[in-house]
Amino acid sequence: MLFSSITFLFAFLALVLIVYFIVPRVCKNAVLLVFSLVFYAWGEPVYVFLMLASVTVAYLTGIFADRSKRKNSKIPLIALLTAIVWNIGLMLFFKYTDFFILNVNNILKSDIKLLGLALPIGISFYSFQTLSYVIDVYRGEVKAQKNFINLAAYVSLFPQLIAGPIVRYQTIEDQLNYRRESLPQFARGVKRFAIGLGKKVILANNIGALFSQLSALPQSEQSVLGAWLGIIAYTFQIYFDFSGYSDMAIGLGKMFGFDFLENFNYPYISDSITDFWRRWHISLSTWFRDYVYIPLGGNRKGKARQCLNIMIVWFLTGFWHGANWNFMLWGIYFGVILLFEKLVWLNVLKKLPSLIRHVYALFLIVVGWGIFAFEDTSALINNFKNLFGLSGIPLANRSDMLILSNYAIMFVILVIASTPLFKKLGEKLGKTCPAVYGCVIEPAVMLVVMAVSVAYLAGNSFNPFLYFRF
Amino acid sequence: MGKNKRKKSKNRAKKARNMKYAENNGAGRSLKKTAADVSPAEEKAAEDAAVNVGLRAGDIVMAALFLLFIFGFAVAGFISPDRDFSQMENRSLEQFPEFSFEKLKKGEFTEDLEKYMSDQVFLKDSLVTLKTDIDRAFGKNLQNGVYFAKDGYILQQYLENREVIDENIGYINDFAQSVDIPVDMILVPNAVEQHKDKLPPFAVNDSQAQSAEHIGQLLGENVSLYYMDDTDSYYRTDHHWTSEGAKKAFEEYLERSGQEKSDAEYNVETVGGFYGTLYSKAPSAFTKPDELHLYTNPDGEYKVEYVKENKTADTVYEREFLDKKDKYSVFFGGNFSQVRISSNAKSGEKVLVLKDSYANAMMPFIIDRYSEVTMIDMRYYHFEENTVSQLCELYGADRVILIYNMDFINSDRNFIWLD
Repeated sequence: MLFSSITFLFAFLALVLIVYFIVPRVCKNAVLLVFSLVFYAWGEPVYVFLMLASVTVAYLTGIFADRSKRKNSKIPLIALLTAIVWNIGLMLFFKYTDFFILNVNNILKSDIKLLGLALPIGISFYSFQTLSYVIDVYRGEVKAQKNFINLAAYVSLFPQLIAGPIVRYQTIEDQLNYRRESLPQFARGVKRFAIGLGKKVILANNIGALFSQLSALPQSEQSVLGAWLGIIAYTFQIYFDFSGYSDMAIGLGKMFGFDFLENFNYPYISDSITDFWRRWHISLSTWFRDYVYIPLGGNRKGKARQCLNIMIVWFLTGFWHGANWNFMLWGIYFGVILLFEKLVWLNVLKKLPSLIRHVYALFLIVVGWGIFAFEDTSALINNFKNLFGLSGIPLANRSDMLILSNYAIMFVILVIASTPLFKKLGEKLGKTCPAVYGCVIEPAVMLVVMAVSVAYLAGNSFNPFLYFRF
Repeated sequence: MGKNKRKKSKNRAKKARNMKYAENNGAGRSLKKTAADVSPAEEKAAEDAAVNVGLRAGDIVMAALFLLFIFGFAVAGFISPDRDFSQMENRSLEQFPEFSFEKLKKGEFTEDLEKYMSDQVFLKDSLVTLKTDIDRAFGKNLQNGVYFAKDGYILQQYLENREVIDENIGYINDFAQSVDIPVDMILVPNAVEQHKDKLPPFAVNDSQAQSAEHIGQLLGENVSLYYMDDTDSYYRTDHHWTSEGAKKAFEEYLERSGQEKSDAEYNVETVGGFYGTLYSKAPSAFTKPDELHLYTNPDGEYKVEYVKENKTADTVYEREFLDKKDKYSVFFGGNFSQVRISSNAKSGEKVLVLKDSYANAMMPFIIDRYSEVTMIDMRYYHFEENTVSQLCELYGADRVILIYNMDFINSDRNFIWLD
């Protein structure tokens, strides 16, 4: 089920809110678990059992991975390895096997049959979560969860189940065991959810329709300007879609008393790629940092080793986004840039005027999306030829002006919404006239955004789910 | 919130801020809190501050409005009866899906359920209208293939598809060769061509005049083309032409082809409140309805026979459609594979008309000029006993008239059935 659907808003969410706030404290996690399983089974009626198996593995390995209870024993290590093998194995099997077979077939001209399995939605998210839980238990950073329902509720928690953020167990350990929902937190959750819904439905879907329209044009109707409009549209789509989902997840979490960490921090105002990756999908990059980069030695084993570590992490980051060459390339692309920035460029960059730094960063980000957006290699190459006018297409054609005139206002809104301007405006209003702002403006904005989003959903507008490959 | 907890969260925020720049320097493992962690803590502090200045009212308003919104729609959607058909969108709406374990396992049940929820949502029509108008406010004057043009016109985008045109004209040529009576083709441009001046700036369309020229070159010698370049009377909200447009074009056709004029006189009846097909494509609250004019000849006597449907009538007008949304269907009640009309027209001539829905508006005038008219709609005339050329012979037709609008020739794929 998508958050951005009539069914979610007016059936699922309504029901879960009622039941959750009616039942006594001891049942609350169980209620969340049951609803989360329904939420998942809605789109994956079979794979829900796979997720439950994953939870069971995490539960058992978590208990046995606790080293404080089993000093000088090999059991915790075995438990940890079991968890690693299970989760990585699961992802390899469902997500990457066909990709490997395909490439082996290509290289060896062999004819190994593809598995043809549908990818279980959210598998990369929940596998990373259960894995981090067991590792943290092993490291002694969190206590093993003795209550199966609590752990299952954590893993399957519907707000963050299918599109992140990757909520780490340590973030919500306390909240899972003892939390108090409160009105202010609920209100902030509502606000956040509405913002996320609006980002997804009003902004991302709208501009995403432009990208899919432009990228579907035959080569004879392409233009350089059109190719740039397309990739810029995608740049906005992926950000507002993904961060919209994260906002909705964080907002829903708050309604039920959870505080998740932030996942995006205005990534498009970055002034370097290093900066960008501190602001984009933060839960993923910190996961890789804490569970891959640092265990590999981080920067503690010399420059050369650090460079290698960085490349490994970014290769994996790219590949995590989908079993395809373009995602790998996308990861390596950023790995190389980050290395370059770290070794030389960042020091030079710091001295340049701010405008140049932003243009530099945005250009590389947009080009990066040009790699990310096209899974088909020949389409990817062709799009880059189009972008840089290498395929003999015109600079602009008659459709470009029409698109510009139809999307000009939307582009302006998207640019403004990519900056903290609205947030700052809100803060300022909150200070100068707190009563009016809190009681009238904020609720009114929330209501308008909700209503407009519902109008778009009822109008059967373009409403894609971008994370099937994750 | 407890004092201790607040203190803790503030400390954590401080810690995180301190560590923000202290990149992984050996003490890596304690570094799990990042810059991102600051904001929940800060938010918490802000929340406390807000509580202190007594801003709880805002929270109550926010939460209450949200719950009202969610539960309002949920309850209203549950109570309000389901609709079968959306007049506004001109399509059938999804009904509550039948349950089966097989469907559930495949995920089809939930998928259908979502479509049902979305189609039967409370205030659906208003919401769709709202969406259209928000898009318009964003400056989207091309929506769902139609332009919002000046003077309340909604104009359908025309992009030439030469392949389809060439193919269709090929079939028409083949057909014309298989009959030995005159074949006339009345080709009607669409509103988007004739009302170009009303289009928004930067609108992208191909020239229908050029398409017509191309068709003229393609058509064989035994087909006479009558391109109705002077037509200028179209509905603002529907893709058809008006009765006036059709009447004028028919008179022009008779004149240009050297046929005698009809001397029928007409009474005109006006029906308002017509929201046409183009309105359905992008229903805006600002769109004003069209008027539909019905021309009736008080001296006309007709027998209208719907061949496949085994139905007869004494008029081409099916008046019950005047109460429905799709008022243009008042002509014959829509499109049918074969309709035969005999009348008391003086000429005694018999014609076979190959047509699209534009022709329907011209029929009230055609049947007063020819005594026997056979209308064939190739979209529905499939796998029949007789081919169209056989029909011409069977009925002893004196002439074949093709009546098509440009968009139809540019997109329809049924001319193959002429063979």
